[in-house]
Amino acid sequence: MTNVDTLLKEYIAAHRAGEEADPRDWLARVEGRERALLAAMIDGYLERAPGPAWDPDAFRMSGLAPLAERIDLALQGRAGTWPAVLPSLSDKARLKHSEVVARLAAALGVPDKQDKVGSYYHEMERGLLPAEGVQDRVLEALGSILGQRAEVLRTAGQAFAPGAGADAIGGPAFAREARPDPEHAVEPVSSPPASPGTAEDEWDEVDRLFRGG
Amino acid sequence: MGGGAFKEKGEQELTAMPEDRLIAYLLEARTHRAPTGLSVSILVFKLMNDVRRRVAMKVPAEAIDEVAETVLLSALTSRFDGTSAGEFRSWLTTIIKRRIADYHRSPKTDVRLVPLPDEHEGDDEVWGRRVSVPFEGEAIDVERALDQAKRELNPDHLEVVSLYIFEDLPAGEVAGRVEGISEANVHKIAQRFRDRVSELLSDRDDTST
Repeated sequence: MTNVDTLLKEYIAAHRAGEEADPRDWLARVEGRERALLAAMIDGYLERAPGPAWDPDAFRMSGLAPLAERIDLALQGRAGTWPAVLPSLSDKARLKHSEVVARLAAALGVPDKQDKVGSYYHEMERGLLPAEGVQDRVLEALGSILGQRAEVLRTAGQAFAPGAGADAIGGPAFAREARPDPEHAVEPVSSPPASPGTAEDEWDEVDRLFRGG
Repeated sequence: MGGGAFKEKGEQELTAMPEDRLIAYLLEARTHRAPTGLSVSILVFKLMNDVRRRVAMKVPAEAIDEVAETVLLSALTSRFDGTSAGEFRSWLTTIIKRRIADYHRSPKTDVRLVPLPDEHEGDDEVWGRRVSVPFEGEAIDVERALDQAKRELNPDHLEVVSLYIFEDLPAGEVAGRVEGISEANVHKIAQRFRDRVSELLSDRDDTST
């Protein structure tokens, strides 16, 4: 039996025993081609290995809930991966939600309408605002704040599954399990002018920027 | 509404489902605007740690979480946009390799923002281009040798190799699971597989010198 075979067996035993089983600890014990081979063998094992049985308490303790929520929002929403991408980018930029909103409102020339900009940005983060309605100017401003190009943000916001999901049944998409922060609670929007808290005759520049395409 | 009767499932039913069925349920639930949070949570809980482990072998420590999160996001959302193919675990492997390659092509770009292109599962030419990251030459050689050696096996022998080598089950148990295969055959098949991988790697050495 080769060194690689022995290490693979040891790794599988550790993984099955519920240990941390960080593959790097095993890879550190070989070099060169043996290392590459062991990595491929461990990967082959992990590809088929059954995951842990569902344990709600362990899930809560795992720190995975925010990720699951972001993925769920992306799936339920109509703004592609924005629910996952936007919070992550602001984290990376070390900007609080309120700072992003303030800068965005200023960059758009509507510093006096931060609340409304905040509501729309919150909808973007929750996947509730269709990306196609958001003007390039908004994405350019947001991109400069978050350190990304506008077209990259546009692509990330493309909705999944044309004709599937909520779109297929004709209604506005909304995340049923989303529980918006009351501070930002807004009604889901579908098409203008039913914007958050905006009556038809109150349609303004901010509505046009976020929903006018 | 969506066509056909849809019945929302409870936690017990969802946790008993194999992954592919759980994902099919997720798709159906989404179509019917039924809650999907629990299904997504179960999938993330079952998959994330092993995805992290697989990613950890190929990217620096500081990028593991970002790449692993992107893998799950891509794998689960792509089930909904018509670009996915094959069984979920196989699909997940494809995504893992591509997202790792995305990371190495542009380490400073958040991989969450790199769109997943149209899929070409099993298309070696396209696949080869996507993972051709120079520093990974040895790893790519090994992966290709393993893939080729697997492809050369018939389905029964592939199952033997998977169970005996990649799942480390005892030869007797493998023989009991694969019809017409004795314990002695299990050892022979596994040895032939190992020899073939070594031979393929030697061939690559010869052609690269």
